[in-house]
Amino acid sequence: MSGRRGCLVRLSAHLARRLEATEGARGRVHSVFARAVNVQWSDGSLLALHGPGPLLAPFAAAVDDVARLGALRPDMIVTVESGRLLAPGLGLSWQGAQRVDCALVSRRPGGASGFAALAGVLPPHAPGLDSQLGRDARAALAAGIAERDATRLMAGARSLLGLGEGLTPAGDDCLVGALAVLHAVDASVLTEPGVAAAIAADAGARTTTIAREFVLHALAGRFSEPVLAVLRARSRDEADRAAARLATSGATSGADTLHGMRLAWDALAV
Amino acid sequence: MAQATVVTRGAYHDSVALLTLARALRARPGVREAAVVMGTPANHDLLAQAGLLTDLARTATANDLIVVVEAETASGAEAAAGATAPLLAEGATREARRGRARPRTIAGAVRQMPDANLALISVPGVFAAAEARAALGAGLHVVLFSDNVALADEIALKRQALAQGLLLMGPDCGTAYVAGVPLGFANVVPRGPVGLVAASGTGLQQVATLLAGRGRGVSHAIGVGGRDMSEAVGGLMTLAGLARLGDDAGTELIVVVGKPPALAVGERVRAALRGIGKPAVVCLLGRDVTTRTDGAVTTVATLEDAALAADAALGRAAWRPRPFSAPDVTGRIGEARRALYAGQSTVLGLYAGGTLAHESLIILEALLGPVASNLTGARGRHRVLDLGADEFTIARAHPMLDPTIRLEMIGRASEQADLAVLLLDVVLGHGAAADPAGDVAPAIEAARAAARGAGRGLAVVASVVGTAGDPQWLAAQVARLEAAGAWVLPSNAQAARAAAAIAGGEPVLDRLLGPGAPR
Amino acid sequence: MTAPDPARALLHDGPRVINVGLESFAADLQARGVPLLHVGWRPPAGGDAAATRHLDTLAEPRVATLIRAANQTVLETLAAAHPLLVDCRPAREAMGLEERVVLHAGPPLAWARACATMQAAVLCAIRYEGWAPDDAAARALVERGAVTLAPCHGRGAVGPMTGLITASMPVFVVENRAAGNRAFATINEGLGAVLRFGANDERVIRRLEWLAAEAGPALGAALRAAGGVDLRALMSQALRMGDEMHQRNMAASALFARLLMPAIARAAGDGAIIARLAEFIGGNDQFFLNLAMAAGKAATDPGVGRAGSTLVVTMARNGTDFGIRVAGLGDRWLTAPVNTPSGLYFAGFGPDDANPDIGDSAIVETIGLGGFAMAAAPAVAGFVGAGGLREAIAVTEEMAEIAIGEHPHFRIPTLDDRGAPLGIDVRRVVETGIAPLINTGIAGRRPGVGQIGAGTVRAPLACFTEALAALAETLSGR
Repeated sequence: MSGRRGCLVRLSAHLARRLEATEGARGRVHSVFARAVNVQWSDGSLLALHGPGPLLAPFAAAVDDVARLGALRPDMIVTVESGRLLAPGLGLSWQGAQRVDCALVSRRPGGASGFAALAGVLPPHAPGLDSQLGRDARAALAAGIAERDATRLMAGARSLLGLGEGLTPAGDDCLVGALAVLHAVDASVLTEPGVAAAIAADAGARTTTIAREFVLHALAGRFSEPVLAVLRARSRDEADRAAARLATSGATSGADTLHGMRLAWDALAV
Repeated sequence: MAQATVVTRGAYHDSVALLTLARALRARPGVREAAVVMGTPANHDLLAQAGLLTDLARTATANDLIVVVEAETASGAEAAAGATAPLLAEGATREARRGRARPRTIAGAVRQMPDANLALISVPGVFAAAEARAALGAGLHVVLFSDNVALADEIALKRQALAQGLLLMGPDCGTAYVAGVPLGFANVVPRGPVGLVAASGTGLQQVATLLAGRGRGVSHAIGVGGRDMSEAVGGLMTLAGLARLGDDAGTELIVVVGKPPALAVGERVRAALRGIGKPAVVCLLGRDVTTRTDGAVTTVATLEDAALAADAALGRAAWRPRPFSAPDVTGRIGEARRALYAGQSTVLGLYAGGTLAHESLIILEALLGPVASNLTGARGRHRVLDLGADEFTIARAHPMLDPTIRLEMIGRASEQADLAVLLLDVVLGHGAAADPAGDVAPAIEAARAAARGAGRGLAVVASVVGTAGDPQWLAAQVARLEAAGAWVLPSNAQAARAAAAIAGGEPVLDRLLGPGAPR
Repeated sequence: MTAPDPARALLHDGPRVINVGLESFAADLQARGVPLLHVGWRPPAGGDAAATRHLDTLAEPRVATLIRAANQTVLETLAAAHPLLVDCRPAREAMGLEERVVLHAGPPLAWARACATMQAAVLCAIRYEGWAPDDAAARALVERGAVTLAPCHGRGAVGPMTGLITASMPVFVVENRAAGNRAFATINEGLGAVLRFGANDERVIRRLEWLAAEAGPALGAALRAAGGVDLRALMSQALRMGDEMHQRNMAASALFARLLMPAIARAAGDGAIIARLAEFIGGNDQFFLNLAMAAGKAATDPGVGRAGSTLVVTMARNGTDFGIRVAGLGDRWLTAPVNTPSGLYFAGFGPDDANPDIGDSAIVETIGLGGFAMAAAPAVAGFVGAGGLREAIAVTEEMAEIAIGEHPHFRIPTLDDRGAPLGIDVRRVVETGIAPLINTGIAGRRPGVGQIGAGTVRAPLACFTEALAALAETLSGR
């Protein structure tokens, strides 16, 4: 395990294209967790590194052995060079990695049995979403989706961003869940002029760096594999299992995301 | 009320760590509220609305962590705030410890975690006694989940534990609660005033979940293992546990759950309860238990009755389960009976929980006559099987975890021409299967369809042992079973009675509805 | 751990759990934030029924009490040992070593079973002593028993790799001030073509002659004049400087040179002699190894024969067999075939070139250093292919599982000054299946090639299961 070996085993197609196009890019380690590390590039965007398994963020890449990340500390320099991510003690090639399409594309709701999972009882979400602020925000978002009203949609999103418990606040997870359903069913309300840009701008100002990254990708239709699994499920059982797995993410992150998905699902009256 | 604030700049702790911190702060005595949120504009508003937006909190930005504690006294608030950094660091150390060599022995574990106070042991029975001995030797209390521990070992271990002032729960202790923390197969219940001593896991789970449904929480639940109240063991841990609950300020009422004890042990238990003086409920499942009250001690015949009596003794408007006379209940019984053809009159109980099987067995025998069972070796037209017993679990996981054996037996049951009612328990909680209802529902549907295809009916009656806080989503579990055609009743006792009524018809209903009948 | 009322404390504080068994319990509790540590449990003795019976025999209260007291005594002996380097003299003087005896590393060894490296070294030693004019004659002497082979350990000595000692060779004399016993080891020859790697040519013999004629006497005079060197203090210092005293002795060698130079300068007189000696010591990063080994021998010998003790007092290899001695089993060697070390190889070499495990240097692990103290020497971890600091700490933690105590003098800075694991208990080794890990150089299997790499090797479990059976038999009889 010593030495500058190691590789990425899984990453999104989008991330792979980005890495290939940015030879020489420099970033620094942004945050270090027990089983994951975030790297921030000079444009402020993030790359998350974690152990083998499904991609836990659309901007994530899975390393062959999570123990390799143990050497990384905040502010260490990370560079992209000749097909590898380089950092002190680390040289991660992505050449052989499995590329995953993390983009949700609109499809006809009739074939989406993944939504069956949203019809049942959901696990409890974070308390913050039940505050007056949380309820108002969710109502506004729902109304904006149901009535295709961009103004109310943006207001709801703005109020949800940064709201509640969690390193990715509950409101952000809820918003990401709603955006996932929108992209899976009908994202036209998001394509109206200025809507996505306004929400992106709010995400920049009103929430944590890590949560913002999730929201920006969500606006572009890219999601983590646990979220994708729910919406891409091909049978009721598969959907239930995927929802149960998503529910175990984080403290309430997964549950908050499911509630957001249900919010949009109900609003679209699919 | 006083408030104290801590703002940590550029803090990156994952959500579980933040939630753990919040819980730890709230659990501190005198703390009324603790908010742990990132300093985003929306959270500033949230804190403001809760009256927790202090001046220092106002200075936090989106990537800063705000901790605001509100406590009864200024010193309490400051102390809690001061505990924030160490608590977060402790969490981080625990995370970092994951990278270290995993200890291979209890001794090695104690070296890495010197403040450990309890060993939860679930290794194969033949090795369990040695591990328990090592744990006691290291000064740890023991929850011995393992079964197949020799009686002589159990006695020696319990004596050793008591000599050291330690508790040894088990063997075969599937469920325990210590200071509100569930250990083993346990449901998520609130912390509250009811202390339990249980010689059985699912018995404890039934009582605790019914109480939780009424908002009554558990202080501690001490599992003593099925043999503790025998003459050989003499109730060593039962009496020790009762003494602890008697001393515990947080325990206002004590419930004892088990099977009929050896005579002398039973007397010692009652004497101990009289000595403690707190209200107590005794449910030792057996034939011909007379419900009675002696002073502060109430003796009951079913687990549900134990929960009812405990709830009543804690002083609130009495809670009664839906009586059998209620029209929707009798209506459902009638409907089920109408779907049966004349020859169908027997009950088959397929149980994952041994005590629940035992309770059903007693109820069915009283209402229907002889019941065959692997619990008693008796013979009869009706059958109640404890699928967790040894003969079913050789080379197979316990039915609480693996539905295979039960699904097989449900499939075979549909071919039984005289079978009227299938009676099931579905147990939720930590440690249980991820989706017990989902596992068994297709088999129920298939069995009912098969019976219909053969021109017969088949009633399925079930109870779900669980709480809204359990990981399996209680409401969804009940819904799934009902959707598959099962009649889900709120308790195992009610389910057994309903099954008896469907299978036995008028004579049984008369007994259930007549004077002197159980509720 | 002994609160006045542990049950009340438990109910008040809540559980802090050690989970042994189902991992799902650990996951649930950790998700609730309950302090928890999961044990990577394995059936004791890997499910070996006979071994489990022996463990049970030794666990029987009367026997266990006896063992506990004996182990405590041996542990105290090991911990209290105070080795001082007092002299350097020819083996015939210091040890009373007779002519026509060749001492070697490891347990007793029949010539026919010895590996090529060991045989080549023995022939060279015989020629050096002048007992035979050439290899053929030397071989004939051994084969007909005119020259006898015996373990260093039986004569109070230890030697690295082939570990040969003959009468003319100068040996360091280490005295254990705490118990009064003495231990001996040769002067480390350095790198390249040396006797300890089985080189058998004129360069080796000339160096040995120089050691006997010049280096030995100079060192002896310096040591006597200086009143000795406190090896325990030096080793404890070196441990805090990144040495573990087996694969890495750089700091210890440097400290030794610094300490002794003034005395050498005064005692040796001739500037040329001093210069040759200074170059010799200064040019050998592993110079201190032999002294660390002698210190280990001095510390463990008093424990040999302590009835009732299950602690290991010797671990040694001769290139064919791995041998251990247990305090409660006296002089008896428990042997099993050696393993071959694995690790990193120098350029041009690979696993096929490796000699099986050889040398008395495992005495260093027996006193808590070497592989046991890997956490103090992260540089070694990389060198022996074990990884980085995290892996190094994990090794020491693992060794702590099979040791009953900690060394009061050898403390590890990276573990908040925790003492090195001391007192290897045979029972724990068998129960956990964790065999002692030894940091070792890898010798080339072709004689004279020298060191081809460095790595780790595990003591064979068979030695310990055999020892356990012997202990059960011995102790249950009473």
